[in-house]
Amino acid sequence: MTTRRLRSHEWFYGRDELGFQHRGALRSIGIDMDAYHGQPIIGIANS
Amino acid sequence: MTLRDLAEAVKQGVREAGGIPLEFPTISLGEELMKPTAMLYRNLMAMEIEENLRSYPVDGVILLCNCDKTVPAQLMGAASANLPAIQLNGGPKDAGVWQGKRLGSGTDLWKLWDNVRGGSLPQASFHEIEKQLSCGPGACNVMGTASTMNAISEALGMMPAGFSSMSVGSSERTAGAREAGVRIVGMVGENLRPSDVMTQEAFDNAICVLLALGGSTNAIIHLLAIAGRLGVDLTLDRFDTLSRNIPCIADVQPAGKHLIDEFHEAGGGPCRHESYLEFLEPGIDHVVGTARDRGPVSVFRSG
Repeated sequence: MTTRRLRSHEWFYGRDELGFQHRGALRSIGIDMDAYHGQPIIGIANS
Repeated sequence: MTLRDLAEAVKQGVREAGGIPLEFPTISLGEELMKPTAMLYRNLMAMEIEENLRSYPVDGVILLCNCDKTVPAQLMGAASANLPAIQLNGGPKDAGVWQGKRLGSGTDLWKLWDNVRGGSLPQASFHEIEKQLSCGPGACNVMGTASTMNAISEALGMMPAGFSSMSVGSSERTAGAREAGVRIVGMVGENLRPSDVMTQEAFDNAICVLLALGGSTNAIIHLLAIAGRLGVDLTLDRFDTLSRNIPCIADVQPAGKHLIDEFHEAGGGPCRHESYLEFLEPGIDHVVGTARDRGPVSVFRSG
């Protein structure tokens, strides 16, 4: 696991309103954000 | 359907490696159905990929492609966004059989249609062939633009070695997709980006592979566009120079006689077939060097 600060951390680490919204968006599609601790987010672009 | 199955295998690998997979849909460029040509939408797809990667919270991406224009479009978009990326194709379709003859989906159509027009093949037979030629999911099973561009993605280092010609739905393809899911998480940690992978030397390799396969001339247009996204200096002169030394060694339709599944069984993708590396050797030192030493750069040989 990387220790480097990832760009996705900008979305999900914040304790402010935006962080709240971003984490909520992932919760709404079934991702357990209580277990989130900075893991890399991997997009899968399906054409 | 095939890409959905691949996506599930990728997700499994991503989770195994400690990442969080987020699948998202993109425009699909169906080569047979888009008129006047899917080419009009390649750049639109490239922009869509670039902006999706820029605007969403992703650290790396797996690009699922197959048909002619989806391959370069994704590579162009990934190049501009420059986030760690691996490309996976869906694979070539199985060969249909008509009167004991295995059919090439991008070659026999034209030959047999000429026979209909010439009066030597009844229209009813052509209808039978239609059912056989459209025998299942996957890209054309000859070295048309789809197979060529997927082989080029391997040569550029963006697709796992040997992956492009694996059969649709095969267990080796599913296993490769899972492995790619593991690998992309590692690449995020290494911060290995498309600009590190698709170098000037990688484009030379791609051109040599194109020539050795007797691949689609459409690839020239796409390679120039991909290089442009990366700021790599590539002109038609480079194709001319390399083509003077590289023979066509693949015996696959339309330049040869075999179909992609036979090509795969004979050694398959250009990055795992020793003969491709061997023929690159004489007289093109920097290509040989990069072909043989590409391990640390290629997304799949570094892990």
